Amino acid sequence: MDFQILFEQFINGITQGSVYALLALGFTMIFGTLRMVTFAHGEVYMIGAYVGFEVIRLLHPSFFLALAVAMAATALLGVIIEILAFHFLRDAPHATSLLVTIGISILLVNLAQLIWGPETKALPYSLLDRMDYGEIEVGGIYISYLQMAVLGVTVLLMALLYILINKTKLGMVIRATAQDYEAAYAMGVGVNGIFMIAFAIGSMLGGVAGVLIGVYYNLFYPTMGGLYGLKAFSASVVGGLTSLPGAVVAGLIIGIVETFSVEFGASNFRHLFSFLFMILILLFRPGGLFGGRELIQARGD
Amino acid sequence: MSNALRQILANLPYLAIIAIMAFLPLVISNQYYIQVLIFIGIYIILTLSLNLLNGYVGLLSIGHAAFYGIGAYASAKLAMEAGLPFPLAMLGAGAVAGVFGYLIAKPTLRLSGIYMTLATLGFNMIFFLILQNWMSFTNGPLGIMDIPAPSIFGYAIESRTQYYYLIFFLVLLTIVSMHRLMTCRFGRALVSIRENELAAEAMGVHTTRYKIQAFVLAAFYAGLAGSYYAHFVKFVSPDSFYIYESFILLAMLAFGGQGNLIGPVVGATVLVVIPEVFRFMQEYRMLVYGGILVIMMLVRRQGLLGGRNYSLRLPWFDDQQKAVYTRGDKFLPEEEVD
Amino acid sequence: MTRKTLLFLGLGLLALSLSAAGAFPATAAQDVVKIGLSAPLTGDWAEYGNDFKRSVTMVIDRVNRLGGIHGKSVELVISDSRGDPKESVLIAEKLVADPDVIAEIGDFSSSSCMAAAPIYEKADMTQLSPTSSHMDFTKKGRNMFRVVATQGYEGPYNARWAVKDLGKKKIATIYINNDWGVDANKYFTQEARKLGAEIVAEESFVPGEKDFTAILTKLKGLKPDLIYLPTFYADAAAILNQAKRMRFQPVVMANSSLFSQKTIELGGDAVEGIIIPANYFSADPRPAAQEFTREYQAHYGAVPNQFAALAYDAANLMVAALHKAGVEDRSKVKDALESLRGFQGATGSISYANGHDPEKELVRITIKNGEWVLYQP
Repeated sequence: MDFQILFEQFINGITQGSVYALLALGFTMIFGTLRMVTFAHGEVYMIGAYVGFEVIRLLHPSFFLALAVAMAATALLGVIIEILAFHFLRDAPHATSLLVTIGISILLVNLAQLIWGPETKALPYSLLDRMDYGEIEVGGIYISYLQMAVLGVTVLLMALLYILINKTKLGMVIRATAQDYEAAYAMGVGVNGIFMIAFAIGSMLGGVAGVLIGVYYNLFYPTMGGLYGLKAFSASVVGGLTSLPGAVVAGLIIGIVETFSVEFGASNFRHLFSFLFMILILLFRPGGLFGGRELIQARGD
Repeated sequence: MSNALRQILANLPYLAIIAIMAFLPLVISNQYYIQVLIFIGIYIILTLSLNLLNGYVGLLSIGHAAFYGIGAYASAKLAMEAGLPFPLAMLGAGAVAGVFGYLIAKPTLRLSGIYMTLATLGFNMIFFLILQNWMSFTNGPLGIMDIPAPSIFGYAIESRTQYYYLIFFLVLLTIVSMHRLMTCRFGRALVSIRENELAAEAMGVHTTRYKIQAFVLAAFYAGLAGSYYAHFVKFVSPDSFYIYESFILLAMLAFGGQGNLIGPVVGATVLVVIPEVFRFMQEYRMLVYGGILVIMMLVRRQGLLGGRNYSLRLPWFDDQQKAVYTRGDKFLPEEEVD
Repeated sequence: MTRKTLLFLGLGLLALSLSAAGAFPATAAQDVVKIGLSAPLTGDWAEYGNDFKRSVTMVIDRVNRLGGIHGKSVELVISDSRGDPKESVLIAEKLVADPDVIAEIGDFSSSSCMAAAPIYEKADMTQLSPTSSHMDFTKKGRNMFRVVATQGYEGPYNARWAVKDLGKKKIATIYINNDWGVDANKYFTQEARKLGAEIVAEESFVPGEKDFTAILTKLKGLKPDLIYLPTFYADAAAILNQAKRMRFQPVVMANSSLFSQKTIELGGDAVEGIIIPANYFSADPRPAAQEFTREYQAHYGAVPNQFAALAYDAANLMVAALHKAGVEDRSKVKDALESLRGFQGATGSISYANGHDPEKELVRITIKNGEWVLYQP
């Protein structure tokens, strides 16, 4: 076996996997804190990517500026989604909110088509070159800093979120609200605000993912949130809907399995794996790889 | 008045509607309108089948298009490769879909709420990916072409009008059979599960068994619709059964209302007609579907006609009260007495 | 609201929508002749559908400015098929039911065209597709025509170019897994094998795929002389960019579908040197091609791609046939199309004398210094 090829595939798998992981993080954050599933997360990611695209194209080719603006935009979008899908439906069964997020996801895709057009766009290479920070070589394989950044940012964000949720006062308030929002309300917590904040944070993660992944592949199109969003969903479920490390690990595993499935001949079926894993986990260990034995129910179920 | 006469008079609105729909193709000569009516029929059956799950049992299935697709492909293959005549192919397609319904339901029904929903999503995606990639069996993205037109005991169905009467018959069959199911013990058990699963279980209702049965039935009806679709368009391809199709069914159910048999009919009809009428608003079509989902859930989450027992019987001639208990609905915060 | 009110509201809506559908009667206008255009204006193939729309409206506007056809002005009935064959069927039924519609141009994908074909055939209405390249399309009836060279023609052409002209022995393909890509890949590999080349890998991807590193690494290990890419431009740009990052840059040949400014825009440096055959090429010196390029650029301010060119030719073919056949009888249009001689389109000379699949002359082009130029070996 050609070890260099295998090593390269491994790197490919990690890169692909970290894309899923980054998307899954935002989704898990929202479910973990709000106990609500949102179908619109893929589209939030897409909007974040387009915002970053416009910032780099029109304002200044700087990563950080794009990230900042995209995070602000997606946080705002997250608050809007929270209001539409959850705020008014606090007492409704979960299914209702799910349907609203499905509707919002359809709306966002079509809005993006109307605003930016259906065709695939890319950043001009002259701009990209100014942002490219080079690459390193490991064993004959070239790994770009951007590639490493995707994984690096994912792990960093996971750590930051973990600290936020478990070690800060805000995190404690969020956890309390998630556990029992009526009790938290009785204790004087502004629960509506907390839900909005949590949703905004989760959506911001989607925005970060959008900018990073959008620039990495340099392809922007309205349906970019579709398949990736669904796979991130699966990664989240596989890792355990409330486990942040679970989301990351599951995303990486799915990426690696998919990549090696191509290497060993099944490239047609590569997309099956994420959904297959999801079904298997649901059947045999619904809490996910990192989840507990007892299932965390969605609110309203 | 004799009993039979009373029965007829009590059901007059239903009979009137049926009569109108039956004579419609004789007055409408525009084949395009007949075509739209046929698609309305297909989606009525599909939405009614989804209603069994989402409306009567109270599950949320977001991957229902998979059973539609299974029925379509199964019917095509049964007719073309196994040489089965159309009625057998259609029943076979429904049966195959039902079998898959069972295979999905059995292991996943013990999951609750959102996990079950995610399982239905996963299944739909897997089904779609298999359709797209298993070239030797499903012909992949090329789809299956030249599916034969239906022929029932030698009577060939070719013109749009003939297709119309076939779907009309199937829709009637679906509604009547579902009504019978819902008024007998099966339906009442489902409703009791929806209202309060714990109480139902405590009263001796074998909840899992009934849920599985509902799932199989829902899959069966969807499979029938799929079979009709395959022999009507004479072409099936994987794109028609992606999750967007499931979302469209969800929108129809959400709009028209669930929990009774009239809501899905209204939802399917309106949401098939709107894109046809507004064809000139091409880009906004999907926006309408998405918007409906959002607005309906916020404004009237049980759907336009959902959550209640609607009956078109004329009460003046009706001696017997055939009570179908559908009062209350999982989507309502509290019960309204009417 | 009381339940009775809601019930009647619901039934009222039902009745309203049914009657609204009937409220658009088919009025037969006397001084207008209609041509249907069925194309994916939304959905995955929206940009190609819009290419169709732009080209065809440009032609029809010109025709109307010059006095219409046989004294009647031409109205284009544009319908969005969303890339869904089922929609194409519905559109076909609608067009066929309208007595003023004399013929149809469209659709984009082969599955859409083939699903709708039986309806057009039954109504004896001509269906002229600019881009349907599946071999079976024109076999569906006497009314089915196409402008583009079939994959059954282009595939072997490319195979001969790769194996005989360029002498490549080990070839790998990466193709898009839809009705077009599967077909394109099949005909190419079949002919390549017949000519003695070895196909070391045939990798497919789902439309919407962005990450090709797994496939590329695998191919890197197999060391092919040439990679053949039956894909669309966004995928090709992604593939080649990722290949460049991995320092994997073999000779790349692609399909005529790639001729577009967007290939260069999205591809940057990575697409330098790819070779493709073209139905249409913006710098093509042939007068018909030049005229089209000029007209399109003047109208829309952008360089057209081959889909726009094919749709343009379809529209002009249709207009020429209608001039010949008159605008009264649908069934005469196909005979008129078959009898056209000497038609020079933007995509080459087109004749249906020997069948409804035109034999096109393909021109070989490549990208050099960020521009499409003629290929010099």
